[in-house]
Amino acid sequence: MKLKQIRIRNFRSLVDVTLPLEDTTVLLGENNVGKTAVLDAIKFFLANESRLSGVVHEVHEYDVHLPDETAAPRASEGFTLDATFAESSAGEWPAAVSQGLSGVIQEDPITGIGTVQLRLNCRYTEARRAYMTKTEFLASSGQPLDRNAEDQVSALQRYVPAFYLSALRDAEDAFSGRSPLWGRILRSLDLPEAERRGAQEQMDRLNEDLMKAEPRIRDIRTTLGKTGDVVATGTGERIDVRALPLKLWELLSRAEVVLRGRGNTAFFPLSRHGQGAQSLSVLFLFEAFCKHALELLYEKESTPLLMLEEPEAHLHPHAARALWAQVEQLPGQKIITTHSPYFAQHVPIRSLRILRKRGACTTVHWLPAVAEEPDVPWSEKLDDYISKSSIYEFRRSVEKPSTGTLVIKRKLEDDEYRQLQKRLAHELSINDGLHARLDALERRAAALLTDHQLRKIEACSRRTRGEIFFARCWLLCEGQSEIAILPRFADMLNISLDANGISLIDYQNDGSPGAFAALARALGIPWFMFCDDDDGGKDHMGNIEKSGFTPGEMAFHTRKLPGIHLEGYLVQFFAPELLEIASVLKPGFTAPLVDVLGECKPDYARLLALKLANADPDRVPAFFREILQRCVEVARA
Amino acid sequence: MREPTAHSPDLFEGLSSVQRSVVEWGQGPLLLLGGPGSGKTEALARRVAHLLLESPSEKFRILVFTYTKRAADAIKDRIEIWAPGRESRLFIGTFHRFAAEVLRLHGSHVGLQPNFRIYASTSDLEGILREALNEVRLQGGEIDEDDARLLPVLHRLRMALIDPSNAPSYVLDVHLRQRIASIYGAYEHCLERANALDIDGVLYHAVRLFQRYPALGKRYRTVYPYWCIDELENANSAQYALLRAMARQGFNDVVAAADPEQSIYAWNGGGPLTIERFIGDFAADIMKLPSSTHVNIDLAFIAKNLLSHVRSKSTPESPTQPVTAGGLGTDASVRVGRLSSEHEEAQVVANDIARRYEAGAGTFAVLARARGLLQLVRDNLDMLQIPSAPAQPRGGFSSAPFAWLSACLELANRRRDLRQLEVLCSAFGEMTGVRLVPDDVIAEAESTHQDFLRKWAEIIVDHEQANLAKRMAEYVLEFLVRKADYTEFVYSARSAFMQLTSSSVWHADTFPGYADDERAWVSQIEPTLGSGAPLEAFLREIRPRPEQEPSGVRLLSIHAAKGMFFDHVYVLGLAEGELPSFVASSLGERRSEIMSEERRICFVAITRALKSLTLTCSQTYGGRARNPSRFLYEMGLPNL
Repeated sequence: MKLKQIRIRNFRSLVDVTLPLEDTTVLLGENNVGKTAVLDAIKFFLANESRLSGVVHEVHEYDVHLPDETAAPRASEGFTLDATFAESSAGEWPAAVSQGLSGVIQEDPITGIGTVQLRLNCRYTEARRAYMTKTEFLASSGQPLDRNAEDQVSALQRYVPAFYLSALRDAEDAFSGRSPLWGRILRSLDLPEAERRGAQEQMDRLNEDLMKAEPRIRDIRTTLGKTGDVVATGTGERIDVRALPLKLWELLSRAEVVLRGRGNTAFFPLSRHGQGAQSLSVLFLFEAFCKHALELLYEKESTPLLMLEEPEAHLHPHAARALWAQVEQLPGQKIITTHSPYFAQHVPIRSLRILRKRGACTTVHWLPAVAEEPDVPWSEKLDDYISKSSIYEFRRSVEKPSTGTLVIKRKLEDDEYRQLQKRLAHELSINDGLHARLDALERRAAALLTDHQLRKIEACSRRTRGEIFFARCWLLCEGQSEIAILPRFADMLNISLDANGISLIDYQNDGSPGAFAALARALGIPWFMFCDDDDGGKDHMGNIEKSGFTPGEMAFHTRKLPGIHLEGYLVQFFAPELLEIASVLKPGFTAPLVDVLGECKPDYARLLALKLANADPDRVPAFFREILQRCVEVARA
Repeated sequence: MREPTAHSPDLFEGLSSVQRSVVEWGQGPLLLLGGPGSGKTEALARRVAHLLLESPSEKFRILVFTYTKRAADAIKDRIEIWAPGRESRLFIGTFHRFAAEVLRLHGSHVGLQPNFRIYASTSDLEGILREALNEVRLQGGEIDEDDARLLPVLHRLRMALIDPSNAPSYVLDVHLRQRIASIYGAYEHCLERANALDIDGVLYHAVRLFQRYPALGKRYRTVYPYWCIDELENANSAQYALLRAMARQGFNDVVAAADPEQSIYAWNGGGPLTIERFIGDFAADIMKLPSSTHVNIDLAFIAKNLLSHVRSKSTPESPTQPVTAGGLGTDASVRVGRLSSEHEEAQVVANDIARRYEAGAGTFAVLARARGLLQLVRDNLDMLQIPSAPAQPRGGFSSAPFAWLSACLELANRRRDLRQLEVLCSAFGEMTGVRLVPDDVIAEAESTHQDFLRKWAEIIVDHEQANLAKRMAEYVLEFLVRKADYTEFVYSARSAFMQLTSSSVWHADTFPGYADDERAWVSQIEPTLGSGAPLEAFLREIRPRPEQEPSGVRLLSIHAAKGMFFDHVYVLGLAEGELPSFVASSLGERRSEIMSEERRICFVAITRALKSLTLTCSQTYGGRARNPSRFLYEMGLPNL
């Protein structure tokens, strides 16, 4: 069974954050936005049985989110984690899971999909003078189930054992006999009795040979043996010297991993290798653990939940890039934090969760797969239409069966939306707010991206090394020439695009402006777009508009270049420089300058950028000055 | 990894070949028929143990329905012998308890909150009905002044699983037919508002839940792939409907045990009919267990004689040993006593028990139809200083401190529970000397925040100086009103109790029953619940459990004794008009089904005995002359 959603409240900067989870989910964001807080909250409650009830000591007063300076953490409601485990389809969970958790599984009575909802709260309790945890399972209505949760929580933890591997891990610890992974693999080894006895005899023989081989050891042994003459030992045995451990399991617990470096002939213990190799080996250790020890220690139906913090740490770019494929094939469900664009660039966009800070609070953004609207009136007329189409889904409310949640899975065509309105005509005429809600739903559906659109955007993220997901503002422009000249203008205005987190994206190369705009909206990234004032530009604007943006939003986000296109606009300001560049690129040209420049895209723009190094800020054309300054404003907000 | 087969070879020890095949029964439906003491329950219990032992690494659970909680405990104990430590894989209990558990978990789909209360007492339900009638009146509906007495009608509708909209067609009275739907609807509505269920509503809602949402039954069948039912003959139609609603899609892994001759619950909708339906619906195989092995031969004789009447045959055979008539001087296995009045009857029985009890002769039970007779015997036993347990053990906490503690918690859970407020006020008065009148608390609460518990504590805190009373009230305000932390409240209150007892402010006998309550709390309540248990679950633990097994001579109604065995059984009141009842006796064989049920009741009574059976009959009851019961004759006993 898998964790489908978590909601964290009042934990550090996470005031109220809801996160849907995939099989592999990547949390991404700048430093200090709350990625680790998300993992810590899950780890705090799910990776340790002792924290599920009673007093907990490791909670720090700063772990509780405080609305302002004067608020007292001890008086607050404490912090809360809601974890939802759910089947993807009815019957997904093995029978053993249904049986083992029968006391808390809730069931959608219509679809038969099973869910388990767990609520954990940790707050200061005056009477105990300590932080205490309380665990509850919830009914599908959201009320706590009236039962003692503890036995079912430990059952749940057996089916979903949680593990945490951190960036700051140390292979020496991870591979010690006490480690939760390596140590447990070793302890779970079960040698057949005959082999065990044989190995023990060999060990004893080897020990004896070693002791005899070197005369000084023999001597020491005899000398120490006198102790036994003075102090009577319980069994009458004399004192001995052992080079090898006495027992086989002790020998096994010292088993360690050795690695031969490239170009090296000798093996070294792992701890003598570089940190990158150590990090990687710990990751593969987890895989080995799942394969060999998980079923023995937990259940054969268990799905491990791995929290992986900055797996890219200490890895060079290529290794960081290659890591995604390795991580993705790890068993179980994974939640990963990263701020490596190298790592992020291969992550499917639907798996990304972008964390951002608004004031003191963290917000999370992701690309929705469907658009939903609850409380839509149900009628047979509506049902007749939507049940025949795969675009829609209607989930009837159990509590109020005359309504339900309308789900739209892709952008609606105009006639499809008209159909939908027609089927709801009667309800629209009597239900005041429904019209606006339906329009908003249609716009949300329009912003849904198709897999084809996503693939193109993913190509862009690969080319830009994933940095666009860390940006605080996107500036969408048509092509390479704009990309070449804009950084120069920023430079002249003394604006650092990097420091402000502004990413320039040439949308024509990598997809469509509408797809980028929809993605920016979903991920909460402020954006602007400009294009040529020609037929092509008109198409691009139309493309954005169709992604569900209102005229007001269009006016805010988009601009048309005065002067038809880039060349036409630039010649108004930099005629002498451009003339010179044109004669270098096309010596003896005869056609009009603007046309020649158009043929020399994007080289002329690169050369112009070079020429304008150290130029006066006043020379930046007004259009670009305005759009760059607005980018800076939103990025800093 | 498979556990080494801890397969106890003893699992089959002492079993007949039929019992063995029951123990080894795998999948598929089976009906096991057998008389009293034939070992049906034993076979069922070992079959469950067998399933558990055969599947050590599996997680599936086994569902065992019994007719009483006591029967559930008995079967639990037997399984524990053969397959110890596997209780987590079992549900053993009544249909009612199972249905309540289903509703706590999934009741939100039929509009119930998980922490609903079950109203069983007539006074609670009458309150709800009054509220419902009021609601109907306010909405302009028609109400008759007799409608306050409609509870039995609602009870019958519930038992027949009829919902409000269908109710009119089940009501004969033409005038009531027009009102019943709105009254019944309002009754449901008022229950919902109180977050409560009437006791009959538990099965009603559970059946509807499974009928409406088949997906739920599917999940339950996955969790419980094997079902067992003991005493199927007692299952009424609503209970049977639950079974059918859960067992859709051809599910038939059900093993039931039944004895049609012991069916004494026909009045409750149970009976031989349920057994027939079971055979038909589940296409069950049938196995028959030969009759009892451990019952004394004379006992077997008279039971057989009576049984031949149950089966509507006749001509009783005579027991091998002469049966004593008149006094109870001898120690024959079957004795019949004829006394002059019920007072003499009770006295003679008590004396006889005293004589044998002191000789350590085994376990004793006194059975009778009428409670009054049992009480007479109890009074006599008390005079002879023979310990006895009444038919209905007293529940709850008897000492003032614990009565106060539990009333506080009840009120914290239901802030306007009038009865608990009364308990709270009187127990607190007894404990501290500070007496508040419930009506004053209610009046003040109504004018402010309507919270009885809070108002009660506020009044005490405002009016008292620093003393025990004030401190206790402060605990209430601090932990139950402001913080809703009942664990801390219990902890603080009990610390205070302990301090008072140890500092000898309270003597051991200051509050009668204090030591017992204290022991019950520490040994039974606290260990059963973890620290995180919700208040509602905690309250369920501290509420009285009427079915705890008491010691001493048991005084039981015949219905309550079903399924139990005792060395020495006394059945009183074997006279026409008592057993058989007055109605059955006067209708005689004209209404043979009524007489048959009476006969089965008598059969149940006499088959409780392992070593000796004493039957008594007085010439008068309540001053009225009565003839000896016809069943004495049918058993082949001498005509008195």
